[in-house]
Amino acid sequence: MLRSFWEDSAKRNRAIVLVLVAAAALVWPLLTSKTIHFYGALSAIYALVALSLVILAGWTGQISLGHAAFLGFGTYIGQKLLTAGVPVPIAVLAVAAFGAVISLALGIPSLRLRGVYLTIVTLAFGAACQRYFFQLESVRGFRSHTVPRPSVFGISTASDKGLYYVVLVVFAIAIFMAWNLRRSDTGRTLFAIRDSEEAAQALAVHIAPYKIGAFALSAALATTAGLFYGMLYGATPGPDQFGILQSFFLLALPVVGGLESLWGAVVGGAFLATAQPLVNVFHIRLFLASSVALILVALSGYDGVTGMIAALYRSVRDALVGRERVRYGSFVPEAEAETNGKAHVHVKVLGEAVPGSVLRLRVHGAEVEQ
Amino acid sequence: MTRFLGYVVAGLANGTIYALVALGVVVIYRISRVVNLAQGAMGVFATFCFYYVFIGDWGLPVAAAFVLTLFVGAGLGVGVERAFVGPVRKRGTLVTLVMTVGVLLLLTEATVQIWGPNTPPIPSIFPDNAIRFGGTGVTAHQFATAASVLLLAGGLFYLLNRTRYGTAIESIAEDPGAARIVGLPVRRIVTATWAIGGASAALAGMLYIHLNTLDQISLTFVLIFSLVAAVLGGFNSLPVAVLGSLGVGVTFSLAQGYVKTPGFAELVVFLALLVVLLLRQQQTSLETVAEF
Repeated sequence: MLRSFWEDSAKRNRAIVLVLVAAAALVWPLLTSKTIHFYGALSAIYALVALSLVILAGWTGQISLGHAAFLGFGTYIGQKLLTAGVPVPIAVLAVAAFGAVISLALGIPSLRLRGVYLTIVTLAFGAACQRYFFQLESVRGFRSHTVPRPSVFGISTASDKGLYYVVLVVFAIAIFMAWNLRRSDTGRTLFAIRDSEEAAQALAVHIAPYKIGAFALSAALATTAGLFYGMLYGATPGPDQFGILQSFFLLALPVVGGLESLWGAVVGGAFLATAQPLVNVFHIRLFLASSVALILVALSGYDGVTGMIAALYRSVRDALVGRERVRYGSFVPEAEAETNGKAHVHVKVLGEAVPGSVLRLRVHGAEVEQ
Repeated sequence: MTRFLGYVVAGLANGTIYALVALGVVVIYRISRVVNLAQGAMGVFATFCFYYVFIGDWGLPVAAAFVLTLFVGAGLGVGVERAFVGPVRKRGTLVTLVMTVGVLLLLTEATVQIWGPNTPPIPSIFPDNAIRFGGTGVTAHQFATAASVLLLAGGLFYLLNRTRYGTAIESIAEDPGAARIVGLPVRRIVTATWAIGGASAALAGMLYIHLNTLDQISLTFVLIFSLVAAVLGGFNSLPVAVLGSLGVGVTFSLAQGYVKTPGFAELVVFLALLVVLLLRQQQTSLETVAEF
């Protein structure tokens, strides 16, 4: 088992990268100063938001422009729970459930229709939250409230370093769950829906529940991130901190990182950590810098920074091995190949194929002969 | 009753501006099959050019600056299409929509970066004299706004639904390759359509910010109301978008007038959108099948 794993070079490389990144994420706070810890914790929180958008936009093909509002609900509701003395793990679950329930109210009317409706509903939701819900005395009101920072399983979150480790654990759990989801039939069905709703429908996939479910998961992750956001700042920020501009910025993170891969969420969070200090030095606005990054990445045709790295790695490997050059990667991954009118596809399924499994295959620009 | 009428008139005045933004969104959707989320930001950028550059720096008279701003808006529309939306369009609607979000963020933040987070008093070419109208007063500016919107809506409706140009737009949206084969000047028509969309955004920006002195993000809030109206017509219908905008404007104004809770109007519009979507059936007609 272990030997076969080690002999599969792709899996081995992936495992090595994973271990290195995990080690780096664990070790760096020990070597740096306090101010940097703050940005580290913030990055981990934003990585959680980026992950939620990877699942929604990258895998399901739906764009939410109201994620800042979910972040806000997480912060405000989380503050109330923590002040009431609820332990953090239970508060996380409660807040996530709250986010999922709100998302159903938005998702059910809009996601049963095909089109941009979710984007518009979430945009209107973001505006309503910024101007109405967050102004309510029962949600936030005009005064800022302090957010307590209780210990979690013996880890003190009083310092930003401790909080960083807590968020890191939550992020690791979330990304593991997402990874599992992606490998499952549900994950493949989400991809099928993203690529073509008609084709998925033709395969007897009931589309709406998948889209609604993905949105609920995404919203739950975003509200969870909000809880830690409030803990990091130690007080509830004003409603404008969770306004619609913030939502646009949140969308930029996973797009810059890579909308389709789980690493994209990690890179998206790290992007914030590196961009924020740079932006402070050069006196440009963070959102301006991220919008430029977003546009450049979208124009590049690659799936974010991770897509670029993957494409670079593959083309170097192909050049070294002497294989025919193939252009890999775009926003939606594709491997272009010239055929003389007849395309052959070889599919190798490793391991046991469960009956009823979904396999994803896409053919671009093909004219089907009648 | 007087109070009610007053709110209705004020709502109609704002509704005409929502209609203006909605018209731009629909026109651009008709040609590019993309909901241009940067519509409000384009308007704000043009309006800030109007105030700070044309009037402030160059000292132009208001009327000349006004006309120049319309050209700036048209140029912005063309620029956004050429540089940003056009290149990614064939890669799918998800990327295109993300791109319009990027442009929205870029233009909004560039406005703040260049001119600061100010709320400049935008002058109008129309006088602000109140015209008594029953129990309520309407300014000449508001009348002119309503008139220009109706004029533009009528003109666009004629252009898109009754002329060969409109048919060309439809065919380009369906299949640009086929449109080129039958000899349509595709690039020129796409450019012209985005120019119309951009100019209408600039017009909306100047008219709206004159009425409500507001900051950079305000027109994106307006865009939300316009999108709600455009949803009613499935992003395709100009008359529905205009009527819907007026309806949203009146609803907003009444909600704001009678309930003093801040943001209550936004809440009502949001809930109305949910109800509209719940009542809406899945479109099956081929013409409106667009993934995004």
